Amino acid sequence: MRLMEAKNLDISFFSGKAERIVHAVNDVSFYLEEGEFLGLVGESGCGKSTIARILSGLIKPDGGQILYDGKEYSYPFSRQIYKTVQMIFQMPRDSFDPRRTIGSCITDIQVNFGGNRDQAREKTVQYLERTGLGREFVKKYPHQMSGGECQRAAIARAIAVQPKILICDEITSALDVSVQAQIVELLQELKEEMGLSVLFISHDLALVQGLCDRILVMHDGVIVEEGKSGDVLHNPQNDYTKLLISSVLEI
Amino acid sequence: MPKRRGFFRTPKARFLFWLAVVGLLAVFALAAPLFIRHDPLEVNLLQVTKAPSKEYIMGTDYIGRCIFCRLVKGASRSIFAACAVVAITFVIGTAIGCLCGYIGGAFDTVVMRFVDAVQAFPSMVFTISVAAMLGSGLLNCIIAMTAVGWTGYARLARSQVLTLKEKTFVSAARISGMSRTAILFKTILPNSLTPLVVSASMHVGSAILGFSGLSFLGLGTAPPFPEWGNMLNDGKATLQTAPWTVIFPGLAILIVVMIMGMFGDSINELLNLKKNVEQ
Repeated sequence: MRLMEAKNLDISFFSGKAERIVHAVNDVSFYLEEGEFLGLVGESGCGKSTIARILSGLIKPDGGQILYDGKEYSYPFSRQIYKTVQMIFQMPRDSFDPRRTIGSCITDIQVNFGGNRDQAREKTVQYLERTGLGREFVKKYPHQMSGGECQRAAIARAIAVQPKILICDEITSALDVSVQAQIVELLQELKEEMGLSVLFISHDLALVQGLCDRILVMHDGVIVEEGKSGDVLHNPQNDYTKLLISSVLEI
Repeated sequence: MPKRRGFFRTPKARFLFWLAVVGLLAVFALAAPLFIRHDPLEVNLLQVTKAPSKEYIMGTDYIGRCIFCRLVKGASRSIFAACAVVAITFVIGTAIGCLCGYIGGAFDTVVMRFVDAVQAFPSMVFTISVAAMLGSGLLNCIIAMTAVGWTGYARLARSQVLTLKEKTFVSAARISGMSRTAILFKTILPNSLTPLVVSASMHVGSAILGFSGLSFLGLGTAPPFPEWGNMLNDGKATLQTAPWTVIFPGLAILIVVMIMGMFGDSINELLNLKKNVEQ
């Protein structure tokens, strides 16, 4: 079953620097199956993050449709959608309010979706522990934590509403390699445990191919290739994909 | 920066010191009626322009009123009127600025062009004309200074909100299911307050100065009630024969404005330090 479907998404920005209109996402369509780990790869500036922001309702596309569970959502999204879809950001520390504790952020998200505050507090500890952070992190501020710890806390916050879909926008790119591996491992475990469907956005082809069932390759706002992880890697059809793969192999 | 020694070593200590000084000043201004020996309004034509002495420690003015008594009596007026102006402009300006930045669109454009128009006038001239239009009096002065003063806060608050709106944690708050209003009050506002508080603390000194200026021009407190600005005005005729009539009110303004400036600086230092630790 298709949990999420994007049809003909289109968005342009006016770039003041280049003094021209940038067609960031150009007629992009794709879908996410239930229980699937879908990778979206491409170089910086190809429109990956823009897609993440459109799908999570943070920006309004110029055109196109977004369907969750077969139901169309248009901008601005109703808040209830975030019970189903959650997003994790690239910069872990920036995704928490610097003036609030990690614990209060994770408790709040549960309360916002109808949880009882006392129960939510207890669950906050459970979610933190599930992501490998101890009880003491409830009272910590983002600036007292490392990037990896913040990203774990961000994952804890995202799973606190038991979503079906997780959008991960370059969640490992700000972390060093060993921490990257731990975060990815945690994500895989949680996916199995909670039956999540994940849209994993990254510029790192090597990481994505080991992780994802299916891969979309994006270039200049267009999806140039789509297929099973192994097929795309071993038998790329598109010139850009070939270039991307060869550049990884050279390193 | 060279390390300072002793009590002034840390910004927190400096802040507490200046807070204590400001606190003392406030107590002094409030308790004034308890320790003055003369009625500040009492005219005594036998004691006109007397030099400072045991009886009149700051001398008397051109109709024999005790300058010290007038000074302490006027302190509460000057200081509290200034604080009122700052508090009102801070609240109004921040509220309007936040809404402009957050809502944007036509509302923002209209309000900001209005702010531009207000700020295009030299502020003192504008305040004087508003005060003159309303007529003299303490309340009218506060209104006039408020009408002009809020624009600075509005502009600052707006720019803060515009920057914060684009932050990842605001997007994260939205995805956490917070309503637009909750995001404004719980996330954006607390994070935008630091520079606004600093600017408010710096504003107190200039508000006292502005207030004295209006009184000097006869737009503030009406005579015979004492206020530092109108005391200067009273003394200007006797400036050469009895300089104490202007020296003491002038010194009072100078010292209080300086204390407020130092206090503002220490707040600035304290809050910016916190910010640096956070980053």
